[in-house]
Amino acid sequence: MNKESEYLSVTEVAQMLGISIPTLRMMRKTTALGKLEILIGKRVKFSRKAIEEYLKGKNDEVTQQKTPTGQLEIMSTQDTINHKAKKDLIDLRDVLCIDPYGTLSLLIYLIGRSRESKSTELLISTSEACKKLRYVGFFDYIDQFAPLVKYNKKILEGEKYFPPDSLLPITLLRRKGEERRVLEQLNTLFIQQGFSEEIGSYVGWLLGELADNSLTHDGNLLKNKMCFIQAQRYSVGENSKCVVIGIADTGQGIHKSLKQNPKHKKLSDQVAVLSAFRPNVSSWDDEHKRGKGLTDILSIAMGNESLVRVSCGNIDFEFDFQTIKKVGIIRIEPPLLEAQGTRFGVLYIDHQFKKKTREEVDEFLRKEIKRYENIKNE
Amino acid sequence: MKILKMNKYGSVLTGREFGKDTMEKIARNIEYPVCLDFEGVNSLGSSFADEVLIPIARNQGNKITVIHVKMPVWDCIQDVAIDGKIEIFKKVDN
Repeated sequence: MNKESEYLSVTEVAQMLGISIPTLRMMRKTTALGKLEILIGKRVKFSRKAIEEYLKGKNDEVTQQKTPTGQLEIMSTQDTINHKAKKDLIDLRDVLCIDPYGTLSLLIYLIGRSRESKSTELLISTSEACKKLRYVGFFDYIDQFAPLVKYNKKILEGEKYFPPDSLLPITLLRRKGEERRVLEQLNTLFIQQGFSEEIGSYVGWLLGELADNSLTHDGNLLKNKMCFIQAQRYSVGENSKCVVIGIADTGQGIHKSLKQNPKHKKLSDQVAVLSAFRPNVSSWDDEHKRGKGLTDILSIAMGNESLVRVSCGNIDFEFDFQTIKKVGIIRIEPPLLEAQGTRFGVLYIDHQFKKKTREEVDEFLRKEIKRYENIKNE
Repeated sequence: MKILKMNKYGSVLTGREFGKDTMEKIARNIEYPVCLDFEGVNSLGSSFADEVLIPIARNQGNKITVIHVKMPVWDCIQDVAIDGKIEIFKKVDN
């Protein structure tokens, strides 16, 4: 084969693809075909091999979306919200990045302290993380529900900032059913921002279950029930699409709720949190046949090969289902923030996957719980 | 077999209480057997599905037929069916 025949002209490619030259011109601008062209002299050519692979679907726009397995984490893990040294002062000036899980954990923590009549000072700056907190409505909720939090409002006044990863700002749910309106809105945003149709369906399922759980097991009087939702895009390389979803409530925490069922009252706090994810484990009596919502969250995350983080009280777990690492549950110590309510961080990768069954989730959990049963509860 | 259009109740069908309320509405004029049409339903939660699919299936020999089901909705229906020991049939979309 001579050098010339390794390359195809625009006309030859159009013939091979069975399309007209104007269509090919449009496809060069809008699809992966554009990346295959090579300039030889003054003429646009295509490598024959690349076009043959394109025809087999090996380098088209579908395969462009790579699964970023092995590179993901709920970013707040890395944050330096140093509340340990001084609980009445939180310095956010050095925080580099904050995702919905971190944002909502901080919000719940501050609302909780204010409810306990404890004052807290927030040190803020014009850093990207602080501007982002302002954009997602964090300070508005602080002003509304955490009156004992003091911060210098003037610092961020007039700052114009639009976070590039913005999706859904902090949204408050106070009554059951309000989540459906938010989920419809989120679904529209996913489509507008180029995500697949499936992501809205799975995210709707998991957020619907989590919001329903939050507002059912909260333990607060109706007027004090609060459940916050937030979502942002998560970029890992240019070809991946992920979402980080945070959902948090000001309730009693999963472990306390579960232990209301006499069957589970002797469990340690950490085992109670993990057991709540097993099928048919609930604070309700067995006759009600409850306790599947949290199992479903894990069955989606396991299939999706992503991450789930759950925290309440001083318990903070990360369920890591990325197959490149050893799949397992990691207890994060110390927790990001010690707050009574339950906080979830869910990372969802927008790719084709097969959801795991409830039995597969249960098998995984039984092994992990056995491991944690041997670790002394704090 | 009558067709019951589920999108009448919204595109996001989640929450146990909403499921119970929906089932009450459905029960007022249902004529068994029915086929559940999920066209336009983007999300289905298992709590909602527990409250709707299982009672309907119990009234038609523990069987349920569904149509126009997206993959995530189908995943949820399958979980509920296994748990509730009901048989599901998926009609091929026309």
